[in-house]
Amino acid sequence: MEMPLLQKKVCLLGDFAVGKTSLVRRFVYDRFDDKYISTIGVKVSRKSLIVPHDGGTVRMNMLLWDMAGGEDFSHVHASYLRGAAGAILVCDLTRAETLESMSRYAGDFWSINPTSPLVIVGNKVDLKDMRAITDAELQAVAESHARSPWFTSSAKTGEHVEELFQALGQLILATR
Amino acid sequence: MDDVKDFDLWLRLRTARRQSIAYALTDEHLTVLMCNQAMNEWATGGVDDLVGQHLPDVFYELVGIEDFLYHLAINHGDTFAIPRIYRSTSDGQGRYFDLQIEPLAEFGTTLLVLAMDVTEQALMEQRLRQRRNELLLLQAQLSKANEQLTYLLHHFVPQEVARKLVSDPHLLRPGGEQREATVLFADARDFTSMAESLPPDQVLDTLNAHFEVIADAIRKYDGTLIEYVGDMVMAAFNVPDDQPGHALLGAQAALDIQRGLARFADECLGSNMPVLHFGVGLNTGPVIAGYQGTRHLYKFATLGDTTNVAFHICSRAAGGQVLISQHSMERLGRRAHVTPLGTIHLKRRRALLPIYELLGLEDAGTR
Repeated sequence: MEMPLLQKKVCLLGDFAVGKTSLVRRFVYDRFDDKYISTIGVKVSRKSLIVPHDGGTVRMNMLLWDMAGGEDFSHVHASYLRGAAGAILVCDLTRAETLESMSRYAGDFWSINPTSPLVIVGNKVDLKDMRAITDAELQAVAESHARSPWFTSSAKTGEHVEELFQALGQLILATR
Repeated sequence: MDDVKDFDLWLRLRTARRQSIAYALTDEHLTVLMCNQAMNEWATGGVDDLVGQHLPDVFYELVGIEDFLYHLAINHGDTFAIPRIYRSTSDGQGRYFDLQIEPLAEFGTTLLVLAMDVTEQALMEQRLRQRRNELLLLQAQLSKANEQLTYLLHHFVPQEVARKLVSDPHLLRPGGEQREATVLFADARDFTSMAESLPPDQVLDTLNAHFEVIADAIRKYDGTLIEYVGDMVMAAFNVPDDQPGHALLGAQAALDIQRGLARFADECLGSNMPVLHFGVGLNTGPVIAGYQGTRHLYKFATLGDTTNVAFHICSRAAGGQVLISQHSMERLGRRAHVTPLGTIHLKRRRALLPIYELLGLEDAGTR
């Protein structure tokens, strides 16, 4: 029997230069580029994944909305967020201020999609010497946002990248 | 009436065509009824003709909002827009378009979908945002580097000196000024034998724990910590800034050091921390205060005979004792409770130096 196919929109939110585009690039194309190119508007990428669900598996086309970070929330963003089944909130583990913005992004997202799940991600975990956010701080933010799952990741090495998208896929199926 | 409606639609589409705007008409289920060639070019998935296609299958940006658009079509809601959508191109630069979806109330539940090429504006925005973000990142890096440098400066250079250097970096040059100062030395007794019996890290831990007590007492009376040399601490009062009553401040600090060390020794009872005893020496007189060294390495120093004498007086002090010179004693006057200990002879000096054990201070107030 063929697996059911679902298409789900997922938004990546976070301040500029936290690595949203790099996470998508690693997940979708398994590539990484150190050079920072700021994102304008939105770029939608598609990735198929097999997600365990209810003792079986579901094939999910995840439509990843990689959007410009660090802008004030406005109606423009509202149109970007509409219809999202889930979101990945990304901060840069080497810049403490990027963790502080997480609540704003979560609030913006839930104001449009109140029942959709989040995953909290601290990216650039490979830069150990420059780390400015602890696991405990990241966990506290995740706990305060509906006890969302949290990950430290590295788009550069690929650490936990697959896992975080998988986790969101499972949450999306669980909250359908 | 139908003619008017047809004309209206014809006009909208013609305007779109003239302005190179891509357009499509769909029903409320987003099935494409008609479109121009430009619309095909924005679609993903390599479809030559969108007619009959379900629009979200070729515009992934519409996935997830099918219900919203259905209600937009049947309720004739407000125009919905998704600005700055990116499409990759072979040259890597990419193209951008604004997607706009509006219900055509005159045509039942039809939706007009427009895609306007905004590549030029978006690329300009991208360049500006790139520069802005790079500057913000650079600013953050500089701010962090500045914090680290300030931390280093304030922990590796005497605090008062660091503060003056930050406010006026031109001060950092060899040379100094002659001024009166009270110089204090505190030196551990029997340190060498203790150090030989302990592992190196415990030696440093022990020394640092005692230095913490000594430094706290010096800072309490606004003294300047000049340096740590082996098992010895050197401090000065009235450098680099003016401190009226510097001899009294130095004497208060010296007594506070011994009181603090006695308390610390009590706290160490029953622990693994070995207890050190320090002799403290104090002298008041002229010093050269300034930056000593070469362009490769500077340090703040208080040089001169006053410093040498303070060092030698300290070397005569037993553990727990504070010895002061005649000059310091004269500055303290009757407030000082002292016991004269006779005179000491210093190398290459004819005159003998009277020294006193400082036992306490009267009406000096405490901090």
